[in-house]
Amino acid sequence: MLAALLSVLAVGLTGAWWSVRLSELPDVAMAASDGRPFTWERLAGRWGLVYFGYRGCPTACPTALSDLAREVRALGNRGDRVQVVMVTVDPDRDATRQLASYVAYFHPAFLGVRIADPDDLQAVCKAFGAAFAPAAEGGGEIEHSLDVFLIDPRGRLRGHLSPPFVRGELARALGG
Amino acid sequence: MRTLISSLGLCLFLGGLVPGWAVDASVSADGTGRADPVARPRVDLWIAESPPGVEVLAAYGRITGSGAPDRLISASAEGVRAVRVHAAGRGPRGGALMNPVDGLRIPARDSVRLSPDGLHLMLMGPVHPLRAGEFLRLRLKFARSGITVVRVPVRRHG
Repeated sequence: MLAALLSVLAVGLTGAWWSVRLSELPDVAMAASDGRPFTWERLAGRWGLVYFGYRGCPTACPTALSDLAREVRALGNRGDRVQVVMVTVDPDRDATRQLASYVAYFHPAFLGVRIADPDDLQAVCKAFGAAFAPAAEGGGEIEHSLDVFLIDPRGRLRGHLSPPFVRGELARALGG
Repeated sequence: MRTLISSLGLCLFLGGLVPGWAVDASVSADGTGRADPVARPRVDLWIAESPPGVEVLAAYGRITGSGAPDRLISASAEGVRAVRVHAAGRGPRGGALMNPVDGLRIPARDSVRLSPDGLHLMLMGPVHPLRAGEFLRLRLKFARSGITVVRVPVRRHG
């Protein structure tokens, strides 16, 4: 039921990327904030909500992650079938340990993912269609996508949601 | 007399706790300390709590004109390295990117909304993490009405 309803939501929002599957995403070295390696297969059997952000982002990321946490909590027990992942677009400054406390601040089940190699990170962003440009030399802001990409339990990239989420939007979309 | 003093103290205490209220008398922009005859804009802001390790914060809310147009020309806060006005925008690749803005125009009889996806105040380099329930004294300098100091509450996102 959850999968079906989320499916409707995702298709209704975008109707794109049907052909992209987890197995086709770049197979690069990734580390998760729970201390284990991360592979896209870890999302299998659940809905994966993938967001590209970074700890130093002062407005968009805290807002998006807070909204996501609120929406996942609103799902109640069904929230267990959703895994939110934030892939850091600032791997130089976001160590996995720091990512762990950062994402846990918003929701204990959120996962942070660090892709250390800049080329690998670019490849993953490109595969998702997520806008990304590293900060200029000497620091500054990182241009990054605000979309939350949806991967269905069968491992298909099904579309994206764009923040800000209206309160209860996800729960309503799931029939709650 | 004792009751009067207690009441006065309570009023001052409560006044200091009201979010976004100006707690200091405004002073003229020339620093003479004389009250400015121009009504100050109404400031109703809140600061989003710092997630762990985050060294830049943002203030959101509204600033409303009090009958005359005005312009926020600078802002500062004790314990914060710099306060700037930023606008959320798009970068060359279509992603999110913020741009600094030179001041903030306050309409005579309308509000400027400060939000994550629009204009907002950036608080760079707080000396210590700001937690929900705390207050920060924010000093706002307006071109027409001078300086206003407000106690801005810190809240969690969401």
